[in-house]
Amino acid sequence: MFEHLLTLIWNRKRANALLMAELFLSFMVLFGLGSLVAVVTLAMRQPPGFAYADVWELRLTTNNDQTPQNPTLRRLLAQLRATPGVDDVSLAAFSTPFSGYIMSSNIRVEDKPLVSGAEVQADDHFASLLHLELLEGRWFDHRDDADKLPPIIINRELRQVLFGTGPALGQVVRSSHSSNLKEFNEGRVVGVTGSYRPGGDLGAPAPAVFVRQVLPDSAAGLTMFSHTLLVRVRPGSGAVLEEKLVRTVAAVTKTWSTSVISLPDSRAASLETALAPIWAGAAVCAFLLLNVALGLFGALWQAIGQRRAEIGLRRAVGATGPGISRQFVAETLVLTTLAVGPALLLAAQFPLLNAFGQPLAVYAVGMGVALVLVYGFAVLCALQPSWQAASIRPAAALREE
Amino acid sequence: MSPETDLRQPTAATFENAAPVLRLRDIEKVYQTKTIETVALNSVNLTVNRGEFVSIMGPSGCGKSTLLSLMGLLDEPTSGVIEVDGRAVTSYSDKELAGLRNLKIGFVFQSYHLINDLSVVDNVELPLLYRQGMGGGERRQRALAALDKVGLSARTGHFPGQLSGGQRQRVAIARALAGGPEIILADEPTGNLDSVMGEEIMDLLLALNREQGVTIVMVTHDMQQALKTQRVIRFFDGSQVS
Repeated sequence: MFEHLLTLIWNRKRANALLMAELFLSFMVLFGLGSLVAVVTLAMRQPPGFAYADVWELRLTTNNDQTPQNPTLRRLLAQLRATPGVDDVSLAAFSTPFSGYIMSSNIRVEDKPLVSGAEVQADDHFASLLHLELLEGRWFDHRDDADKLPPIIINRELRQVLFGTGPALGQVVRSSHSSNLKEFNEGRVVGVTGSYRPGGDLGAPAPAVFVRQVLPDSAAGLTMFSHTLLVRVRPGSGAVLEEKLVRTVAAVTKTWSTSVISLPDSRAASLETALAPIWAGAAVCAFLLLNVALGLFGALWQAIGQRRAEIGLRRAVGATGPGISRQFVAETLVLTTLAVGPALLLAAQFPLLNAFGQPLAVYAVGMGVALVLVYGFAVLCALQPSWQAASIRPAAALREE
Repeated sequence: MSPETDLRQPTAATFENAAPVLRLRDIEKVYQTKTIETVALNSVNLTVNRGEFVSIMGPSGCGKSTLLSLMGLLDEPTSGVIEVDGRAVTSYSDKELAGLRNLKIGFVFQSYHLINDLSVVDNVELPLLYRQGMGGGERRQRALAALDKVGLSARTGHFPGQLSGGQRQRVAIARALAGGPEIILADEPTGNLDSVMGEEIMDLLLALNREQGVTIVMVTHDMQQALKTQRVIRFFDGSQVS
């Protein structure tokens, strides 16, 4: 029977071409979306490399304050650390976790090729506040004040790229925000952290370098439009503490304004933004699938209308009602297979050619999602028309022509 | 099996056996809609013996085709009993009836009912697709043998659209023969053909009946053709009148 159905579908290839093209296209789009979902899911299942629960971000706007800001900041940090309910405070640069801002840097060791990574400016409290895992060496502290070379800390991924299995601690690393060799600054590696994903949940584990940020003792210092502080609070802290922090900022700084957002909220907002293209893709896929479903459904209805005599004939020569139903479902599945087969071959080229550098599992999930959805829709669309075909009375169908 | 193979399961010996192969007892068929009730057949009692060639005549709408559908187990009577080989099939399931049709009955229709997207030989193989345990090789051999019997060995790869009306009807007869049926039910088999082709088809049916002992029940409007058969049954307004 399978050979018979293949013959029948092959001989009707012109009539089926458009439908097969739709199925092919749907498979490829679903494969793309499925793979993207797999990438996101895999990324989300990996730990970000820091603990963000009970961490708040204070965004301070200086409101054109032209006075030296370092003394104010120092007083503010001391006041905040002394506030009941606050465990620790860190002066962070703008590239805080989930902020969406990543400062990229070119890093190299000796004459080895440049490595692109994220640069995170962090003070001495950053690691303990975010519970960063230290694999080698130590975090920044007062011992770095006297070192001629600025200390730097690298994460596991950057260590692997720069040093492989060789020693990392004490090595001199040069980094720059440009690729101009003259602008490279030297630093000495004093520690290695575990994976740290500055992009948050959806960012892949990538090389990152931590650069020490200190508040100079001098009364001078930069006047900036804004500062960002990370505050670890006691679990269960809420609006009362938040209000207290805002009042403290106002009391110390006089003119600065404050906004507070918890890192879990920031993460949720960041996820929403990051997932927006996926939802848009899903909407396109849903529309495409709806089109395919309508196409399949319509084509089958039309086929059954046109093939009533054939159905009557098949019943006359020995087919049962359920047999007719199965035949129409099987025809749909064969048609789907003929369209999905080449699509599957094309999709298989992505892992074979290592396109986009994703693991095999990502493409396997993409293919699986596409296969299940395309076949599922095909069967769903075939069921009702097939039942209709099975209910055709053969005597009536044979007399109609 | 060679193209010369006898396709029928019963041998020529059964030709002389006058045992009823098909019997209709007190058959009534009523078509009912919400507003109207149409009696298509009324108290029909009819026996067809093995090896007979029976023609059924009557004006349009008298119930001939309905009768043929009932004989072919394609429809159920409103009341009465249909017996095939002495067994009442009234309580048979859809699967059992389909099996009986496949094994014992071949159909020939006025409008041929060939599948245009299948080649001639694939069309002839169709009944054999529904036969349990028959492989592709045997199916093809039987189909080729049937086509040889109707003189279409040279057209096996053609498609129905490439054939004349007479050739199409020959293909339909080959399809009916391929399964080796005991009975062929032919519903106005020459109705769409000119007189010459009609004669050819009639001669073919007569030869099948005479030489191979195939039982044939034929609905026809053509008196001359009916007179060539062994028995003519006349219908009028759903009742058998002779």
